[in-house]
Amino acid sequence: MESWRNIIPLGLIAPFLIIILIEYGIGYGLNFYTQRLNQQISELEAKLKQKEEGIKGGLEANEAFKVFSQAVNIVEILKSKQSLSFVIQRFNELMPKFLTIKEFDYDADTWKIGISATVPSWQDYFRFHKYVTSLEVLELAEFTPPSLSENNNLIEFSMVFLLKPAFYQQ
Amino acid sequence: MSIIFKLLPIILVSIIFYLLMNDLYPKYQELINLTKNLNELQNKEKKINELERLIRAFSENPNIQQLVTNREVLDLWLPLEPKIEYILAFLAGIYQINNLTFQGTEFNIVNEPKVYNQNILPVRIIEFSLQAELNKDNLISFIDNIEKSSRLMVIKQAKIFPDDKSSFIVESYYLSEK
Repeated sequence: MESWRNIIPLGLIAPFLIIILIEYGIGYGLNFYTQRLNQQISELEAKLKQKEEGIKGGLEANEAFKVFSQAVNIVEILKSKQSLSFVIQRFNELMPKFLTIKEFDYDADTWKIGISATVPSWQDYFRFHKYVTSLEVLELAEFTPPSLSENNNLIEFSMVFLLKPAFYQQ
Repeated sequence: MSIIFKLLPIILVSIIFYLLMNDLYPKYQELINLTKNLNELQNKEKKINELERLIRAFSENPNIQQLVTNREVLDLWLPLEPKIEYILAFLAGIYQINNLTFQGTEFNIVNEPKVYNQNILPVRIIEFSLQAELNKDNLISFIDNIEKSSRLMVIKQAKIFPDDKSSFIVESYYLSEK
C-alpha cells in the first residue's frame, strides 16, 4: 500500500473521480428531467387534441362569425361601390348640349371615363376643350387630335377623363 | 502494473471526456429539443384558448345574434355559395322588364378571394359580361336594375354605344369560407 500511494498520488486522482461522479449525477438529473418533459408533452398533446376536436373548423366554421363576416363585407362592398347610373347622369349634367357622344367607356377601378364624340364646328371643339380643362371634377387624362369628318362635316375626337373625388359630391 | 498507475490520470481524463461527449451532451441536446417542443405546444394552447374565447364572444354578442336572426336578408345580398342560377334568373328578369332579349352569359369565379377586412372571411368574385342594345330610354333603367339588385352587383366596366350593342362587365359576390 505504501508503494501504491507513492505511485498513485491520491491528491491528483480524487478531483477526476469527483468530476466523474458529478457527471453521473448530472446525467441522472437530465434523464429524470427528460422523462418529466416527455410526460408533460404527451399530456399537453392529448389535451390540445381534445380542444381542437371541440373547435373543429375553427372560427371559420362558426355560424356567428360567418354572419358577422357577411355583414361587414356587405358594408365594405357598398362603401366602395360607385354607381354607374350616377356617373352617367352626373357626366351628362356637366357636358354641353352641342356635344354628341358616340361611345362612352367607364372603368370603375381606374375611375376613368372615355368618350368618342363629335361637335358641330371647330369653334365648338375649342370651347369644349377649354371648358373640360377648366372643370374641377374631371381631369383630362388623354385626348386624340380632333379631325373633320368628310361624311358628316362634324369634328370627331376622343378623350379620357379621370374622375376626381369631387365628381361624386353634388 | 506501475505503467497503468502512471497512466491512470490520463485514463480518468479520457473517461470524463467520453462521458461528457457521449452521454451528457446528447442528453442536453434532447432536453433542449423537448423544451422547444413544449414551448410550441404551450403557444398552440394559448392560441386555441384565444380562439375559444373569440368563438364564445361571437356566439354571445347580442348584435351578432340579431344579425343571425336576420340571416335570410344577408344571404340574399351576399350568399354563402355562388348561387349562379339566382343571378341568371335575375338577369333574365331585368332584360324582360326592359324589353330586351337575354342571350345568356358566362360566369367566371375569380380564384383569388377579395379581402375587404383582414379580420373576417373574404369574398369570392363572380364576374360576368352583359350585352344589350340600349337606347336613352332604357339605358338608365337597365343599369339601375342591375345596381339596385338585392344580390350585390357592381358594374366594373361599361362600353356604351347609342346606336349599337353596349357591353358591361359586372361583379357579384359570395362569402368565401377560406
